[in-house]
Amino acid sequence: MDLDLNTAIACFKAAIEAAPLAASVLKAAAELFARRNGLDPVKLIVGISADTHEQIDRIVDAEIEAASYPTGAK
Amino acid sequence: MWKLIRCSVVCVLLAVCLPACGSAVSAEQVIRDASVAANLDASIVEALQGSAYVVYRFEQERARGVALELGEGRDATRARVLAVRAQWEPVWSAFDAARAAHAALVALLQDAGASRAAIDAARSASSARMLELRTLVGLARARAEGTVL
Repeated sequence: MDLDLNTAIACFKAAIEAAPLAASVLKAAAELFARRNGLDPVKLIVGISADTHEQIDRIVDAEIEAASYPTGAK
Repeated sequence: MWKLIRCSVVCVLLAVCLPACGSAVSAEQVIRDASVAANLDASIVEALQGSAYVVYRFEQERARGVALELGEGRDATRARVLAVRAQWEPVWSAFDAARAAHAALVALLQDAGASRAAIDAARSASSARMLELRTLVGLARARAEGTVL
């Protein structure tokens, strides 16, 4: 199966988002995958790691939206 | 007399050959050192990233906790969290710069035609970005622990 770099980044990102505790293992797997499939391992790892802090932001934003607040408070 | 001539010839040969030999060894050494530095830099980014995410999440949680204690609403809570995120922007920029510097060093190491000077410069640049990153993450951690305001 041939994957281009962007598709590989999206796949590994989705896997890390689903299992954040396995992020290190998945990144190691991504590096191996890149080497075996002729992709640039550095670009793949950078692409996967690029916006993980934004994932934290999305989680916190969702928690803020879901929380209940005192009536009348702004 | 012949001994003196032979000795002179040997000296001339040594003088001609040794610098070239030394230069080859030195070039290999530069590449080896740069490869070690590149691997170390990759480990540093990985380790700092994990640490930074924990502190980043913690600071946002604490901001939410303060808002909750003060009985603030959704907008005020969001404003507190956004203030935390703004403080972290330089850290994420430093991560991007460090990753780019590391990628540039790795690319040069993979390029057989790269000059020693270029590799040395890329290695120095990568080390400088790593130092900057470590400092910023260290400051953020100290701020979160309350040792730096």
